[in-house]
Amino acid sequence: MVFARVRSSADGASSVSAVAGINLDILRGETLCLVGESGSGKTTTARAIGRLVAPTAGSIRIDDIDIAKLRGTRLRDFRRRVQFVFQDPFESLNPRQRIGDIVAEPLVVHQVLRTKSEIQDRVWKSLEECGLTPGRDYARRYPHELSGGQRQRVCIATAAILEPELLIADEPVSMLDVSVRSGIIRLLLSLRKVHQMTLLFVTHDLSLAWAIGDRVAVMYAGRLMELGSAEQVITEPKHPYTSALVTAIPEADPDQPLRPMNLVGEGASSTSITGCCFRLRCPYAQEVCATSVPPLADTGHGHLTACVRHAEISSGLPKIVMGTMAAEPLASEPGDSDRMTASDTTTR
Amino acid sequence: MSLLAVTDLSIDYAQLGGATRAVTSASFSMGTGSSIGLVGESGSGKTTLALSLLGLLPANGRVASGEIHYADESVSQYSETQWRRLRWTKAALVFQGGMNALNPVRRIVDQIVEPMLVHGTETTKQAATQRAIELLARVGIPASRARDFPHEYSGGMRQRAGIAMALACKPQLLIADEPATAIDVVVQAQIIRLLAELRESLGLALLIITHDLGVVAQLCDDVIVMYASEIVESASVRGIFHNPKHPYTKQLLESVPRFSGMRGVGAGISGQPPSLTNPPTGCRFHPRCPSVFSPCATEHPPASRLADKHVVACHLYGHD
Repeated sequence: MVFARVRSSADGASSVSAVAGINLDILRGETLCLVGESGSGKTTTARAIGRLVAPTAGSIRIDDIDIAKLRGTRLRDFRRRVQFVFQDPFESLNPRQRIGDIVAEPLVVHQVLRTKSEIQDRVWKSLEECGLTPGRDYARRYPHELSGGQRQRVCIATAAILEPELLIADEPVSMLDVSVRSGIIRLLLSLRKVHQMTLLFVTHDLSLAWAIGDRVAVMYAGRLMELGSAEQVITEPKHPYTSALVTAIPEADPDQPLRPMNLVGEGASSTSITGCCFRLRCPYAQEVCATSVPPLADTGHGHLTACVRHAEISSGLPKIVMGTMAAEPLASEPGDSDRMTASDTTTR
Repeated sequence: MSLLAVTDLSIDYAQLGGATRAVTSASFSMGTGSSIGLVGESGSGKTTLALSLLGLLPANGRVASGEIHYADESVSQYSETQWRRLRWTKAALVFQGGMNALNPVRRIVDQIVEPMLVHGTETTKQAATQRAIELLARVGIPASRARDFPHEYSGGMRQRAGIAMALACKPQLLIADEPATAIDVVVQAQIIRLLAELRESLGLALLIITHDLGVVAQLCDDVIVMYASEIVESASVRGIFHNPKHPYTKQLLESVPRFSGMRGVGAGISGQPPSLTNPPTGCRFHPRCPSVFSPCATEHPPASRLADKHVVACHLYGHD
């Protein structure tokens, strides 16, 4: 079932389009990873879906209602259903508020609970659910007393306390140390499962998208290049850009040689190139690529790509050698939520 | 004889209420053309260790004990003048993120020329400029862009320019602090390939400081793993990736999602990185370690040599 429907139309004439021509359905209950390099428009798209920026053209619909038109109580209701976790847990927490007050704020604003003791209990429970045990101790602290990983847990507790239907996590682990990243990811996945949330996960890390995504959407220069299941997009990429991204990642295995890079230049800054926005860096570009913007075409089984030459070239694109693959992503492994709590922080 | 030898090196930062030890008894050596990855999380002491090799410790940092040798020369008691002679010519630093390392109001080519003239590796401005342009070409920047200012470069080009500058005085050792962080994956891949190619063609030794295990796997022969200011394990890159011994190394490797592994996310490491002002007793990893047993909380684990290059500091090993 479609949860949110994103339709953005062509570029505005006089302004720079950060995102253009995105057509994307978010399915209820899925983990959709939005992947791209900096400047690809992935964060802008995510913020538009959460109505933190307004699209200049096109629409974002949830339950067939254009979210741009929401006002008053209906907007408030939307905010309750869609919550964010931001990248930087050092800047997204008010340094002068106690953790308990930060986590309680959504409950107060949305008038979910009214009495102080109800709110307090709910806050403590939420903190403990996010691995900050005992909740009553953490609630009394200030952000500066916590590490980066613990702060991000506070941000997640704040976002999850309203039990939103859609949780948008924008690079939630890129500022954190490697050893605490997986704990945060597992927390998000477990919350998603327990509260049956939809998760929109924005990341630049394709290997992370591979690890957790049901579906992966690859963006470049504000446009959607490829969309499909994680297996489709990463093991059988149809777009030269996706293929380049996959081969660019240094694999943590010394026996895998450096893969050849066939991509020239760097970063796409402009959506004003005629035709395909990737064609100037694309080793497969031909005249046909300059004529029109390639539509996102279905290549079968819900695997979409925005490359006019995909039928000719996709079989010859560089691919990576896959190791053992689990049939199911982690989110559906049995006993996952148990291990989740086991990996939590602090006391030993 | 090794190019660089570090023996029992400890480094302190002076702070209110006493000194904090940021590097504790580190020893390792590098041969000509070798490549070592120094891996650790933020606060593990890896950057401090690297900076000390060039006499670049911040004002409150000092070498508390131990020795650093370049070839057979001890540099531990070097004056600033002596360090200046060593930097750029014997070993040079590639900084993380090109922008902060470049002067925003000077042209790129002039910035590369400067160390050559200061260190006298080129005597005329003309010859130095010529070499600077060659170096830029070497790292993939055309001569037409040599007279640009840093802001006219993309992030990847700035990183390339930083590498070209580090090569200016023909050092034998390049120390790169997070050379591939804060840039996009495609550019990162290009920088990694550039470093690998330069190492090969110039016979450079590389000391790569990073938290990215993928970069290490692709670029290094040997790996040193640091945790809470100490070296906890060192081995060949295959030894670390295929046969890790220290529980920290094992868990660190499991924390990294990779294509060739199972889908899903590893458990990560429970708890938080320790504070250096008040480090845990015994083994510093013991509060987070899944294999903790009786001696770990009280006794500091000695380093045991398990194989030719494989050294680990953990009570699980080396007791017979």
